[in-house]
Amino acid sequence: MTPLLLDTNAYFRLAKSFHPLLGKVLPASGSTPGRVLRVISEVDREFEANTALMSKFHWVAEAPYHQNRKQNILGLTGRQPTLIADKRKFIEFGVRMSRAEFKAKKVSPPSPTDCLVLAYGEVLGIDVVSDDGGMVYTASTLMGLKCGVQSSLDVLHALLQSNQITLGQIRSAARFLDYEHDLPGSWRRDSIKLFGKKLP
Amino acid sequence: MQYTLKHDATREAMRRLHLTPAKVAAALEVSRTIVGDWLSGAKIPRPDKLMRLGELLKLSLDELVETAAPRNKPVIAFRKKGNAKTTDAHIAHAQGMGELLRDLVPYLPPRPQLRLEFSRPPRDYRSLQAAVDSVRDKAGIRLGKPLSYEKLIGLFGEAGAVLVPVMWGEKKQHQNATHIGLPDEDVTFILLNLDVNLPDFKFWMAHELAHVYTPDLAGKEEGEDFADAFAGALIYPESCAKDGYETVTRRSQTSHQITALRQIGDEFQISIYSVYLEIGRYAKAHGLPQIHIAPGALHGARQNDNVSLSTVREVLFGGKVPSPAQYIATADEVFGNAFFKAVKLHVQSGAAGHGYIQHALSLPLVDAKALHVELAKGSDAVSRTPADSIRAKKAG
Repeated sequence: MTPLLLDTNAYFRLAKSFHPLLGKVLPASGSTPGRVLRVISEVDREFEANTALMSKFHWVAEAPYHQNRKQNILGLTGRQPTLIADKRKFIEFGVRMSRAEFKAKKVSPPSPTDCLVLAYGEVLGIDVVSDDGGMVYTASTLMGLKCGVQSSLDVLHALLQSNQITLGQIRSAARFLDYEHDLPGSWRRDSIKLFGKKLP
Repeated sequence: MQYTLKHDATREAMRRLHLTPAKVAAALEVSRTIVGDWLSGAKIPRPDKLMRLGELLKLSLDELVETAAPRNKPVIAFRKKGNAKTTDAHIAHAQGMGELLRDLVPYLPPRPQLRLEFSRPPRDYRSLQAAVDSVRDKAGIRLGKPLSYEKLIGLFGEAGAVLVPVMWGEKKQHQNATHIGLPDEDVTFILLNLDVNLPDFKFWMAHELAHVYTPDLAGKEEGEDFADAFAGALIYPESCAKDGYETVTRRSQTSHQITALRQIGDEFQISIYSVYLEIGRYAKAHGLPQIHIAPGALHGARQNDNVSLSTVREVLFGGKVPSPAQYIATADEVFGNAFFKAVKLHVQSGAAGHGYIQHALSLPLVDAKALHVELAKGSDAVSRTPADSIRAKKAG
């Protein structure tokens, strides 16, 4: 099964509303093989740091989510770690050198962890799930990576098609994200095309 | 930061792999002229071509690229904690934070044009005390009176420095205050860890103020030494140390002397150790007998104080875990600057995600995410992410 990697923000957006998110399988469709949702170990580690603020995001450290991540961390073999580390350096360097471009395009440069997610995608030739303009710009334009970047709504659409989630769950998640000022533009724009309904 | 190809390594790799410029051009889908320009140093490859060139020549980034020190590199001055060494890694980390904080400069209010600076920092006791007196006088602190946090924060504002309160946890990082200067922008950010006890916090703030007054010394050992001396004198100047010396020397028993030092520390909201040091400096400058308290006794008393004293975070938030809104409001109200207003504008421009906040302030991801959501409120910045337009362009 081909892995499909979530960046930090995509995980934040989906994991609570669609628990257990990781390990869910997006069935094969046309020429696209079946894919399974995974995270990299560094994304998991990001959630382990001690926090200082009260927020709605502490659920990420709760046992069910922690366990779900641990069980679905993408493993590496052979020379892959070395190749990924090498690519990560190029991607981070490219991002650092291009801060003015990110600023001009009004997109946020990917964090070091998300640069690593892209490096995994590049080396392993697997797609990444992200709604962040900086990630899309880095993958498609700045670095011309071999991996594609899919939106989180595409993932939900595939899960809906395979009856793993319901439209009601998607609407509920959209309402929550909208309330939190965290609803990606693609959800509004593509929801009619994908679901025949405007979200939220 | 500027970079160039390491020309010798590049040519050697091409020779080893039997690659001509024409073959490199074909492999990377660029013109031969472009490759010639790269090899001559006239141009540098774009990031995508640079990575593909590394792949083709089997060279790592470090083997392929030479980076030049940027002209406008952030200037870092750390306040060391205990005996911890300021390492290159700490400085590189703080410089990375500085590069991100640079994005906020357009959103900051104008800095005061007339600012106090010491072109030649005073070194001897007499000159240092005169400098401190002028600063205290400027802040309107009456002779012999403690320096309040309000006045201290005001001095930063007058010096055009931007205070950024952070909660990094106790003993989690070597630094409890980080000074990041941006010379070209003429802005200094000072990140202050709220997870320290109040007396130490005042000393560290005064130490950072010294760095602001001596920008040419930031990042140098000489600057650290001056900042330590200035901080001690600012929070407990000569006029106070004179009274303190007389009070302590009136007592013969060490335990009574320590009690007196502690009472002074409490009154001035500074550590007993700072009081002891400044009284010692006063005595030395005036040729008076020193007060000798065994380091162990003083250290023990100081430790007891530290245990019983609250951290700044506990005082500010009443011992509770603050929400992002409370943290932002407190930072703005107590530290009296527009830092989070600037971050909010940057977030609402769409150019700063939670990753920006996470790395600019060196915060855990979860806290950065919570802050980002809070700062994005009142705008549609997050939902109008340009990701879709970039995707659409690519598809087109």
